[in-house]
Amino acid sequence: MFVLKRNTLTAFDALRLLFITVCVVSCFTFKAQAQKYSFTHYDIEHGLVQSQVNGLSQDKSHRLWIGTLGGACLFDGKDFIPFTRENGLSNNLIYALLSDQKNRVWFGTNQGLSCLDGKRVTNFKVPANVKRPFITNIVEDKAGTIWFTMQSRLYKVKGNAIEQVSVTNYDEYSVTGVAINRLGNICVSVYQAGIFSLMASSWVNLIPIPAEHKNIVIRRMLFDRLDPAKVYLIADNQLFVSINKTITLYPDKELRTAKVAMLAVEQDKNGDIWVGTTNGAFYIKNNRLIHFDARNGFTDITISNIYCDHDGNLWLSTWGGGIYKYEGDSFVVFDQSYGITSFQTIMSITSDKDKNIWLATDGSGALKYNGKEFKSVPLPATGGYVKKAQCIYTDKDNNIWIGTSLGGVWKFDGNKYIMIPRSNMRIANAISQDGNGTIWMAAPTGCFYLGHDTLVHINELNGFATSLLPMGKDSMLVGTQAGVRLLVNKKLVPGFNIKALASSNIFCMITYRNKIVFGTADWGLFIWDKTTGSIKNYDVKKGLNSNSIYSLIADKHGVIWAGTGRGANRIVPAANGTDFTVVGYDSSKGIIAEANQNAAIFLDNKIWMGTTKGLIVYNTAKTINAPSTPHVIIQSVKLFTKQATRLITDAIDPQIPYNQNHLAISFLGVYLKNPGDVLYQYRLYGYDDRFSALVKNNMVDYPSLPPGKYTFQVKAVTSAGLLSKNVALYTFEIAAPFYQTWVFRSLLLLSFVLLGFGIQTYMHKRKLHSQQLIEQMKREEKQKIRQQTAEDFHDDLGNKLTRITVLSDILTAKLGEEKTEQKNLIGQIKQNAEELYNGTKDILWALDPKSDNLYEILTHIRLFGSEFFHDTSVKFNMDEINPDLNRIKLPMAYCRNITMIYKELLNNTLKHSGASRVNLSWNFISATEMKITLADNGKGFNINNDTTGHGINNIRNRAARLGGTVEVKSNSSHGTQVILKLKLKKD
Amino acid sequence: MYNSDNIRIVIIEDDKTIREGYAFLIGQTEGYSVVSSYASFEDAAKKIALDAPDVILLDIELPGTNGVEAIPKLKKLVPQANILILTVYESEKLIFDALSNGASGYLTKNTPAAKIIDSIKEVQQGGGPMSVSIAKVVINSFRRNQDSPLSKRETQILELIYNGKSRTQIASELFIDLETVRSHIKNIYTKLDVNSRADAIKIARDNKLI
Repeated sequence: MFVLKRNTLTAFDALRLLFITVCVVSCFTFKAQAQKYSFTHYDIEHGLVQSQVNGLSQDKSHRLWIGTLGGACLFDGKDFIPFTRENGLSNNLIYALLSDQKNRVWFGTNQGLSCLDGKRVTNFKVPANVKRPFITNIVEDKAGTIWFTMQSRLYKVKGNAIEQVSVTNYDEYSVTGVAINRLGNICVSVYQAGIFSLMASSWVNLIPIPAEHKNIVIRRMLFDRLDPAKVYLIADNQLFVSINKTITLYPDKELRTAKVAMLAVEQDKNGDIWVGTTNGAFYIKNNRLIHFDARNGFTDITISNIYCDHDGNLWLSTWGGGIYKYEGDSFVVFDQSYGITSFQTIMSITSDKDKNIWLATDGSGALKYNGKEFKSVPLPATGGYVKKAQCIYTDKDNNIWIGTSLGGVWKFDGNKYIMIPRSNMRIANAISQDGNGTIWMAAPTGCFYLGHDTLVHINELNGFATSLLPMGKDSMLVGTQAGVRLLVNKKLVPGFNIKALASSNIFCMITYRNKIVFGTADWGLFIWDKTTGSIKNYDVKKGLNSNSIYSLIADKHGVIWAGTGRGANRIVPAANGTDFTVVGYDSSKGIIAEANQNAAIFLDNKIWMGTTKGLIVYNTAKTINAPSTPHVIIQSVKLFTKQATRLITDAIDPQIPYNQNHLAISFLGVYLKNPGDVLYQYRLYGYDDRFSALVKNNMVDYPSLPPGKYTFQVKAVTSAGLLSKNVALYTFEIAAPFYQTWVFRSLLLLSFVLLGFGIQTYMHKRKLHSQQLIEQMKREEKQKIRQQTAEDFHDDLGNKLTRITVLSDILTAKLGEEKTEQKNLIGQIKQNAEELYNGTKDILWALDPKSDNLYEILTHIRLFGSEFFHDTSVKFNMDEINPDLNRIKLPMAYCRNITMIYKELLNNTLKHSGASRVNLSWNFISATEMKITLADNGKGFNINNDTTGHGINNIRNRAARLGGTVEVKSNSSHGTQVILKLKLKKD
Repeated sequence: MYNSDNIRIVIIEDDKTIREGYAFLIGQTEGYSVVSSYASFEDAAKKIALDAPDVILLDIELPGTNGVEAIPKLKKLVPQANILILTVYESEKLIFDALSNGASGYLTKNTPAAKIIDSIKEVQQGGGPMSVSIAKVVINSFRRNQDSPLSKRETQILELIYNGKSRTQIASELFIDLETVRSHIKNIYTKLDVNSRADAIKIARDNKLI
């Protein structure tokens, strides 16, 4: 990295470099002692609530509860969420902690037992007889009963209280420890008696205490998961083991001689046993013991508790140093916290025929590791430049070539180191060998080959060459700061170019099957298929930790390991052989170091990778256990309203008003194994059809969701493609505004329909109305015209008839007395003229709309009668007509016909009856029927013999037209009665 | 024939036959003398003052000034004369216009000559002869109170209410809005100071408003 981070090395830089190097480098040999195991450490600076940790327990959401002497906290891989007295806990001194099957958390404190159930905290009452109520152990049996020990007594939780339980026949103050055995039963250690188990409500002695250990106090019991006969015991600060009911000290010699107190025991996912001591921890694997302490990457602090969580992570809690997580043996780091800083910057790696690892370091020269220790390679030269080893290479003849920066290129044939003459004028970026055995060197000034003990420059290749890759017998691919060049027979092939790489700074190249893999400084990885010419690019978008690829190596599984600017990536070939999947290295420690160019080798199933922070050795062997997967949870759901932000995480299927539809959902893939290596796929069911692409961000914002029912679904996946077994869900509904509800919509539709209907009806009515109006006007007009015509006719006729009358009168007056016959004739003319006149008046009257009621009709008849009999000897009588009768409306036909009937009748009466009195009366038979009676006191007539044309038939016809009847009664003594019965049909 | 005790009569009638016929018939009757007869008011106006009539028989339909309009003018020219309308017209308006303008009687032309002659005397003696049909119109009109507080429309509506019509029926019958009917009814109630339909009808009937 050092050289290449600067694109050009100026003379000034070179001088400065020289100066620094001379000052810093002071020793020639160096001995490194041990490898460093990988632990992840969490302490108060990471957010841990307190550093003295006792209790560890994983909850249902795979988060880790940590009980300390400063309260508890919940660790989700990123944050430590505190839970202390502020949250309702009775005491902050926590000695034991348990997350149970129901996801309740039990806290054994200095002040008794507390329980967190959801959000509710219960602090159990301490019995009065307990003087020192601190709890040292809490367990849950298979039935879900919570057991714990307090002041050497056994208690269990019963409902909302705790209950002391005695082991039959033993003093109640004799219980020293409590544990759950393989069957899920509660087991207790009873002082001087042994281990008892509660089976079918009676205590059974599982393991008796042997006489030689009679007084040991058993504090911890671990029932071996794999071997039912084995129980590990921590007693009197020592590790005991019980095999088939026999208790002995653990036989390991190193363990027995270790001058440490043992406090905790745990079995990891592989079945290996861990023992926590007052000085780090012991790891017992296949009867081999490793002591983890500060010297090999762990700590010397007292380990109070060891806990293997459900995902197989092994946690070690310390008294004062927080917690540690063991990262397993998938990789180890050789770095130098041991002295020489520059050891860390490993520029290049190779191995010799004896499987020694050779390192080129920038500042400490070349180092050789024989599997136990690092030794400085003694180049026979002085000065700082020779310590600036830049590249190291093993050729086919097992010569080791060491290239330095201005310190020469050296060849080691197994016996002595020889510098290539004048090579100390060059900076070697890379050394390689072609098929013909020629040694090549890439340098800032171009490319050289070694011919007859001198470096020969390749013409026309003057740019900064970074890397070399031999191809076939006579060809060499040269990586430069601007793409790739090809040399054939030591000559530049003009025009050769791989377009996709033309602008790339090539850091490293390897041959992979029929492909060439290029690591670039800027665009990530390119895989070029030589046969097809196709080239594929893999960059951060496809999962690379960084787009700067410094080193490349393939393991025997066909996996390409890429040393990037941010740790290692693996590029795994897909089944089709052409595509690759980029995965991260599945450990939280994998991504820290910046790799260096051409500094990776594969040896003995291990990838050795040089970084700026030392040597990392990855174990490529595949793990046996199923890898743990993340567990995804919804962390919070925030609802943004105009006024405030509301947290609705715990609401169950909330209904959100449509105008508060801005939500932010944050989620977390709990992956304690490697918290940083979690990506997410989510979708909002009801809004998205598919899950999103993999994202790193664990928060999603929905600024304005349309109304509807939604379920937010999120999955977590590691970069290695391990998918969470669960999908976290959050269901909610955005209520439709009233105007979007179906009720409203249907009402709206209905109202539209009704409105339409109403409008139509209204239009129709209007039309009808106007039609009626027009018709009415027409009718009125017609009526008017008719009336006008009649009036005109009447007026005109009136005058003419008046003339006739007047002339008749004159004629009568002028005739002599004797001219009776003539006078009679004139009288008839006059009478006819008068009748004609009155007739027109009747028509006029009948046409008048005002004449449409019974009052008018009767009045008309009455007037006619009065007038008709006025100048006669006949006395006509008809009662006054009640004006209220105008309420009885009658059709026009009635007016005319009734009038005509009575004119006729009165005419007949006057002409033929010889009566002196005529009486016209009327009365109602019912509300709709009336009768009008005309009676005279005349001589009567024989109805049957009536042939005189009295017009009675005419009258009957007229009556029949109105639906009425005419009844005639006549005799000589009582005169004539004509009764007209009429139905008063309304208009 | 001249006799100073005779009733002096002037006939204004455009129809020559009738004019001369009446003149003859009336003139030959004892106690009556037709002093002049004119075909129009304009003709009459020039000389009528000299005629000094007691009774003027006046037709309504005349060329030029019609009869009704002529009444006040004649009254000015010959204040002592009683005017007797003799016409074929029987419309209420004409009757009332004529009577209010100062006509003393109103006869229709179908009145027999003898009756006309009697009527002339009746007028001369201070009576107000009328044909039967005219009398009916006049009487009818008295039935209704002329000083009704109600407007014509309101009266009409009240009558319809009285006739048992519902508001909707009234609205459709009068071709007005239901709301208008309501507001009319409200006004009627206010004007008559009543609160119910029955009361309104009773008051209206008692006061001859309908």
